[in-house]
Amino acid sequence: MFSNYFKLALKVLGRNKFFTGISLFGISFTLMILMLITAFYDTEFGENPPLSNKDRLVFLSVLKMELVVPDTTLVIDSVAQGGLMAYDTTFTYGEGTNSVSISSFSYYVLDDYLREPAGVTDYSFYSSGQHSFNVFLDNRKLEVGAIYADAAYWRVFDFNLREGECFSADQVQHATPVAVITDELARQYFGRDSGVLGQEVELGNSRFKVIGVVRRSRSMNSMVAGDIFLPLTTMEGRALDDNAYQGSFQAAYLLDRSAAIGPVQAELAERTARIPLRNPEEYNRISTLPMSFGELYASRLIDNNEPQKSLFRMRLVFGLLLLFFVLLPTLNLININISRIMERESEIGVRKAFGAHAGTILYQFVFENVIITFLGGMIGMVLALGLLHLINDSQVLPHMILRFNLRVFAYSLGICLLFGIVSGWVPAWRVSRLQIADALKSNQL
Amino acid sequence: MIKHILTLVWNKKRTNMLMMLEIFLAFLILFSVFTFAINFLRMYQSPLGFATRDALLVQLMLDDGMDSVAHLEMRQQLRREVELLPAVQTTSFNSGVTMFSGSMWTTSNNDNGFLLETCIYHADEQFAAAASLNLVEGRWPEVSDQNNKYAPVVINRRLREAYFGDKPVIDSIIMLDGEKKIMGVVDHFKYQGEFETERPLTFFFLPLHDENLRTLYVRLKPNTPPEFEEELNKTIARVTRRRDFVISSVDADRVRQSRQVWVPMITALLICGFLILNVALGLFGVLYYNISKRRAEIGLRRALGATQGAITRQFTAEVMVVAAAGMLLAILIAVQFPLLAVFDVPAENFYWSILATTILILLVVLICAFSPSRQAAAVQPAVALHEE
Repeated sequence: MFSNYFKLALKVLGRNKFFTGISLFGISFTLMILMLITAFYDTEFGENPPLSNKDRLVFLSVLKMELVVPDTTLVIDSVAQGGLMAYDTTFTYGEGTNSVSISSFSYYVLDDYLREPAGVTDYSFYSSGQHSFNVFLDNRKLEVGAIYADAAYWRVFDFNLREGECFSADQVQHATPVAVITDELARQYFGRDSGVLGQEVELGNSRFKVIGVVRRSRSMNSMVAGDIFLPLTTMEGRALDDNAYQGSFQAAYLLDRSAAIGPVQAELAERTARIPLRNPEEYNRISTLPMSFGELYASRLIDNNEPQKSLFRMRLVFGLLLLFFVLLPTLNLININISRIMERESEIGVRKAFGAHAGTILYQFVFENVIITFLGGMIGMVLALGLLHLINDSQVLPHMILRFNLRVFAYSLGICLLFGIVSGWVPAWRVSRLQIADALKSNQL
Repeated sequence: MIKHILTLVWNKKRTNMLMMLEIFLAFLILFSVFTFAINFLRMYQSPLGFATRDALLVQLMLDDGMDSVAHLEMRQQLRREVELLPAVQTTSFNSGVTMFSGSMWTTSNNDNGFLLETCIYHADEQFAAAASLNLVEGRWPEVSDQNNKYAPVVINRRLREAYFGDKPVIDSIIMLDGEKKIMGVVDHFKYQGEFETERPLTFFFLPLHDENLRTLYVRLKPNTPPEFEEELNKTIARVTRRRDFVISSVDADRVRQSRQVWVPMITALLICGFLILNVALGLFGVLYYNISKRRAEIGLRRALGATQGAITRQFTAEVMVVAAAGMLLAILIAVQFPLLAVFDVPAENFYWSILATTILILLVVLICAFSPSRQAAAVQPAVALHEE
């Protein structure tokens, strides 16, 4: 029976080329864009190395220091009572913030107060996104972004190690000038992406021996998007010995498989709040917001004091945008499908007269529509692949490499199916309820 | 005529409902994207006010614990040696808040009898010449002005217009972190980026020994090859005795920063273009089908003496009524944005956007409706009635 429907669908497609063309155009472009969005989403939020464990990570990125003073608000209410003025005075005791300083953590604060919370397998302190070096190589200029990290960094973030090894706790402790570089930097610096172990990279005031090559993160998340990874003890200046509260460091905690994220976040927040402050006249309150990966991402786009709200708002905004975007082509398709199907009124009338159920006709038309959608989906996929290639090549999104992998493919199939059913259901339902007499009347068979 | 068409449209309300909904949605989507684009394009129109081409910016790294004499000597030597390079025109020291850096320094006070809010930009005495600032009034201060009774400042025209109106400002004293004397007015200075609104801004002068002067703006002679950066790199490394400073091209910074707006804007406009094309094709197909189903009606009208023009007009008007209903509904929602002022976007941008969207959709609908209507009008009464 399905092969019958299939043949019928192809025949119908061939019959009215104009409508078929319009439908296919709409379907393929809509699906192409949806596939691109899926590929983008997968790169940024999918569980790809080095962020495969992102659901089990808690980040400390911002340390907030405030000078809070008690603040009394005096409100005098005046009302006329029997020709006399009566006053009602209320005091509200609250607090006002005199000055705020927001920055990342210093190594000293993390090291002294924020090690080993309960329920955490591993944790890493690192400094990323703020260290950039100019390297001049025979008239070429490279901009190299460095991430300074401890040895645990490699256990928290699961980079794809292509050759060599990552630096060890011992090397970090002794400030050994070693480096792990990305394949991209290896290609730019040495002209090849393998066999560079033991070579030296000159950065800033020192030289580092390459001991490992990792695949560059495809996403733009700053905690992993570096070109070169160095032991944090090799940082320039006095960043490690400085006992200020704020600095350039951040922390990532990898939870136990069984641990819930809430208690860990609460413990980290509480431990930060208890850090003794040396000069209460400058700042008398210290706080941080431990965030999950999604919350961290959202809080960079939508600033809010509660990261959960930022995440919710980001999802809401993107969800609504996507809904609006999909709604229009769907409506359009429904509109076209109604016309397409109504043209076949007579066929339906005959089938019904010979005893076909409304349900059978409904399924037949939905099935036909799903077939067209898949056809459009295939065209869309080819277009999407071409466009992905173009986007990656042109570096519109610097360093970001969008891939079309199995997961994206599965999402796309799901999208196709959904789109086909939704846009086919309404017209099919309408047509399946046609009265035989109406359908046969006045139509030339 | 109108009443008649309304009846016709109402009679087919189920088919028309979908079409109306489609127009309604298309309007809202176009409206939001146009507002976004118009908003940023209007900001883009106002000039930056300084030279980005043939200019480099060096983020200097300085050793901690240098005293002011060391700072002064280091900067003097750096300036001397860099300006000796044949490709260099002028140099100027700025603070860490520079063009396209993403950081901003603002201050506000009530000391002048009104709330004065301004951005602050720190530079030395050579900045106006180095960055080709256009001074509309007064002059850029010199080194000797730093020892005057009042420290010199230069403001931008935006600040002058916002707070002083037509009153003369040159040589006035304003309270801004102490008493300052306004020495000049700069036409434009939009250092935050191309897609930003220009804010009131004040230039402060820092003497060369100030440790906050951590950036060096280097203006090059036109057509200096990029390889020059390596030469500059060596000179700076030699003078500052550090190698972890960063040189960037101001124009490249501008392009990189503007791309963060261009990329989403062009993407959104392309997607909109596709959506509109999609809707137009769909509309065309549906109208074509609907009208071809009404051949009998057309034949009858033609037989009774209606001209071709009258029939084209009738069908076009029918579609326009449906489209107008959808657009009216959408406009009712769209005008809420400027009226309620939910977003920090000037109200006129919303109105421009509504206008642009209305025109575009009307145009699309008209084109889509016209061709099937013409086809319908070409029906021969004899043929149409014979079929029936």
